[in-house]
Amino acid sequence: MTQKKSARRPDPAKAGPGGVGREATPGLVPQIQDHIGRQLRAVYEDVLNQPVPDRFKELMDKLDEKLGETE
Amino acid sequence: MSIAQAIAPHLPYLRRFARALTGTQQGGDAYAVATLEALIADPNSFEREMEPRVALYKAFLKVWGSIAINQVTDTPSASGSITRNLAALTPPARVAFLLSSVEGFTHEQIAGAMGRSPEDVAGLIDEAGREIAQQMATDVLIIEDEPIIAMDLESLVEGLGHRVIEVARTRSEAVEAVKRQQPGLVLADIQLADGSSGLDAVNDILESFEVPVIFITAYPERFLTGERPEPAFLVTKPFRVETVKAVISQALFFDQKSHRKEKSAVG
Repeated sequence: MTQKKSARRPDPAKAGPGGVGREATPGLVPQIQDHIGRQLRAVYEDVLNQPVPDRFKELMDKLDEKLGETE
Repeated sequence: MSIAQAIAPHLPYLRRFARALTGTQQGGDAYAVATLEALIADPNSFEREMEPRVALYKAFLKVWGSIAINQVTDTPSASGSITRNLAALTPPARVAFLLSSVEGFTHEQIAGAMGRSPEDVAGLIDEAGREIAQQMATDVLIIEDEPIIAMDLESLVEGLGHRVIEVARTRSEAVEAVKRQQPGLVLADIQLADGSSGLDAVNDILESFEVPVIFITAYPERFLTGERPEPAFLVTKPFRVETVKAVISQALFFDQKSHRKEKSAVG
């Protein structure tokens, strides 16, 4: 098992401009990355539905005040 | 429009990104707050010529890259494996991957936020894909009695960087196989050569350890009516290679290990 796994490590010598190295280390095809991305968005979706904490609102007010002073 | 007005609509997204990047909401918020404080201290650091969202993320990444805010660890949750998998990515690859896959940024927007070229960004996203594939690489047991399908599954699984430890044709072969070596993933047909059931085989296996299981069957009703483990994935035959690949990656990335369903009156 260990031998086989080490064989899968990227071999810089094989990585050429033609992207030969990708064969030595299979990556994720874009569709699968997109799929994982969609799942991740679902996992983190609750953050978007939460109200932004008060601390953020205070800081935004401060930012406005500060800009009022400088502009 | 003031900076505050320009960035206000993007704060919920920044908090989401910060949470995904740091692993916890608390940790992510600490960086998001520090970003706003940095902007208050020096409003000119906000790059007004950029899209406000990109400029906000750029300011955030500058803070994230330069300060180590006490890394708070929340109690491990269901998303523990996701956090672990993301945390294992090298930081620039993780940033580019999350900006692309979760935040939906274009390569140009990511380039702007990270202060890199779009070509670099494409390379980083590829790198993230390779790193994820390596992290997920595991030993796979295939329970399938039809040789051609078993071969298709073998090459599909190996194409994702995994290793097939054995192809079992019957329930008893499957049970024997896991005694020799414990797999990190099981792909199982349901109707097997000798009339035995892949579902029974998996239930036997899950008595000794938990493992993600994907059922691949032409008889989904046997899965739906049988005593099935939870959670479990079902792919119907004839299958699309991309579907199976996506389900495998999902099961492994999100570490969705199956376990036997609790029996009630029976057994």
